[in-house]
Amino acid sequence: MVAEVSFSSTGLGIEIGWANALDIPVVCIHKSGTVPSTAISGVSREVIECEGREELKRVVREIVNKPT
Amino acid sequence: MIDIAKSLGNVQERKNRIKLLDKKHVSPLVGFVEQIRNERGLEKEIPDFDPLDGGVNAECLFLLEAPGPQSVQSGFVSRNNPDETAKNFFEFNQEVGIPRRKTIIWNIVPWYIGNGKRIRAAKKSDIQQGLPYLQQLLTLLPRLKIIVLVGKKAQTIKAELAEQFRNLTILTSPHPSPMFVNRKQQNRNIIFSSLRKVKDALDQNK
Repeated sequence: MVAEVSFSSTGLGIEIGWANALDIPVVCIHKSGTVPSTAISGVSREVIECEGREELKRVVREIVNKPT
Repeated sequence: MIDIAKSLGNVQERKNRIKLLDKKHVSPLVGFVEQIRNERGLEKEIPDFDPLDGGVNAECLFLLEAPGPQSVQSGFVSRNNPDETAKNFFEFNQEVGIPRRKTIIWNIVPWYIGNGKRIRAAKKSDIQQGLPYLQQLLTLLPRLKIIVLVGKKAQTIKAELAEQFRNLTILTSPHPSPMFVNRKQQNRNIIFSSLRKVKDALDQNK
């Protein structure tokens, strides 16, 4: 699961929690300058900070192509 | 992890319990609590579920009124909180033999209502605000079979719950506060009897 966690969003924490409960690896991406919650970081395999659209595209591509 | 009455009065124990919040059985519930905190603009006033309980695997939900000051202090809705109500609840459950891993505790009003020293009684409007969160919680507990409404305030929604969740067994129990438990000798027996019904219902559903 790839989650964009720059801002709090209804239900997102629950979905990330279910992913963790079901052994689905979670990678969180957030915009530079924002701080994701510690609860989210706790269950994520990786938390990646991104600056702008191009970097976001590159990061998502890397995550998707990375073997699990 | 020290699973004895009042163990969350110990700072190290609280730290250890926080570390368990990334365990699989509580992960979705951590997200749920965080969502309510965001929506209500609150933080510690909404304590987390206790990871020593069953989390999303719970078959029985004990629904109380609202978190007390000790719950806010410890950060958990827990039978291990350092107050007499939690101690009574811990001991009654242990004596009846209800496995805590099959249970979960929540409050009909999920946030602290009080002045920091003393909790006030939940008003109808508090309960109405808390109800949508209870409904959402129930969607996160796929194995749930029983809801125990603990205390008069929680019992005000009995008819509504029974109507809405016909597949669940709704039971009641008096609140295990020292004020009730110590008032008359027979009050202990009333709680025991209520909890035995819970245990029987859990055993029947095996």
